[in-house]
Amino acid sequence: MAFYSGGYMKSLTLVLALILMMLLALLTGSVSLGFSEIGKLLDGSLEPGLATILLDIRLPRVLLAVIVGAGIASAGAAIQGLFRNPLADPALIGVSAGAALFAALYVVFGSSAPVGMALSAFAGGVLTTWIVLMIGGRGTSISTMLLAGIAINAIALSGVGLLSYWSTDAQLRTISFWALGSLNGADWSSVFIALVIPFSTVAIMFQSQSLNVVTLGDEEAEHLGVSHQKLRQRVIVLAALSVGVGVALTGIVAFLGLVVPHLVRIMMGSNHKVVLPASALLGGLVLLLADTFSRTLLAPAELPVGIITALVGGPFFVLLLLREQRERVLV
Amino acid sequence: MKLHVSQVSYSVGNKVIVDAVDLDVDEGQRLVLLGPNGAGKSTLLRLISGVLSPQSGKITVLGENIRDFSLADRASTVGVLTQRVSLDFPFTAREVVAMGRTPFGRGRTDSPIVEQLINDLDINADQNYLTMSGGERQLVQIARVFAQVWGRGGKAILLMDEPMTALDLKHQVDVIAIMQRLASEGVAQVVVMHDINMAASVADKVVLMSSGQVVASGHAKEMLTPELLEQTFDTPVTASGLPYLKPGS
Repeated sequence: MAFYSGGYMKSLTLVLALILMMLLALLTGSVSLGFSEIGKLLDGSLEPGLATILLDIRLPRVLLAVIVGAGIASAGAAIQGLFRNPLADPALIGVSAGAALFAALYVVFGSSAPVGMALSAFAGGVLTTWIVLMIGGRGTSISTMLLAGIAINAIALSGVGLLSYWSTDAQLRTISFWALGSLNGADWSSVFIALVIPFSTVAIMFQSQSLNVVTLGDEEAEHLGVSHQKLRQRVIVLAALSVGVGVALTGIVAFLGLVVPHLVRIMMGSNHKVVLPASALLGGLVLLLADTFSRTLLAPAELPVGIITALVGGPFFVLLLLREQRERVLV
Repeated sequence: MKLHVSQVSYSVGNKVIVDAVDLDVDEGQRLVLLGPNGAGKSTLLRLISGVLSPQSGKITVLGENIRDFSLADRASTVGVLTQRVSLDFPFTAREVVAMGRTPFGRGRTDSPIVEQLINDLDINADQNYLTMSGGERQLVQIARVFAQVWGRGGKAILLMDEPMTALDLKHQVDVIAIMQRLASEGVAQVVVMHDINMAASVADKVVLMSSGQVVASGHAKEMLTPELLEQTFDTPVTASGLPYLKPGS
């Protein structure tokens, strides 16, 4: 018997849980709805006001949460495999910090228009990732890249700090809210933009076996026919795309890319053929759950979703680490 | 000649690590590299495996320069066990062994080759790799490399850097049995070892290395003499006739 078994059953459970959560999230909110309203919506007898709430306010938000959550979590899983470090995070390649810097630049020197801010954030995420790749991507040592990521992160975040210092109170508020993450701005156009994410997520899944092999070491991967340099470039570009678009649309959602893949490995083992899709499913589920709490806990006010993911994710992660430590000591 | 190394040198900065080394390995032959720490044995293996490029000299595998192999061709021709494996993810032992089949497909875990190696080497296939002892992990990595060259016969060579170090006697015997089977199928092998007695029992040919150079090479009986060993390891050696136990019946 495998130490993790029934991978298919667990994946199926995840799919069902995600669908159920999507239905619940659709029905939950300031106007509480029941399953009968969904029936009425399907046969066209729902009153127009409620239909608008369901189709134009809640549905895009639910879809955006699922897509962005799936993208961030599966990118996190791939980055962890690539860096051979179960505690790595997409932030390590600089994408979130770069996005934050450019979002702040846009707010301070441009305007607070959400579309411009999202575009600017995306450009910043891609640019910093590119710089990290240029510094650390060509060398043979993965730690050069990790250290380059840490340095670029620090520089970008100090830029954000400087801009916050210069900004007006209103600008500061926009910057901080963005940095805490929120799905408040979700509409169909943002869902449309977010559709890039499933493509890069699926493209990452095609690298599953290469990611498995590279966990042995760069040289070992080469002996098995996998070029670690090409894999590194591919995975980082795809992860930057997923996370960059996600962060641009929702702001920084803390902990998702770190905790979700870790949780998946505990339940289902390390094979990336399972870890990547399962992380996508669980990532979508977790962000949707967090967002549903964020808009209902203090209704009609909204909590930034990043606060919830960090507040729940942080202690949960510590519990996981302690549990794992105990198990390793026992063995 | 399956593997031909001719006048190969490699240095880092001013330090010469491998110095004008020649060696030849025929189909199905097993060559054991012996020498003190820092003699350049592991670097020589890395040069032969193609990850390092020699500054001078030439290495040919199956008649072709190893540096001209594509990554894919190299992976289906040269199986390499390094000492540098760093695996920190909870894979099962079976999944790790199956990684050896990556050059021939997508590393399916249900391959009969993987299953046979797991049985022959008595590996607990479903155990979490991270909960295994150092010796058990080593055995899994050896099985992974065996899986890579399995069935390739004269079209493959096998390079192993200190495979036996962490293994108990039974598993050493099991590993040698598979190495012998691979040799009989034509797989040429270069193995770095520290155990001189083990080397004596498995080597078709012994190469003694010291300070990057070949001290002597030839049949085990001619190489493993107190004089040559003393010259290689720079420490007095006496032939005591002990230990007189060696694996196998």
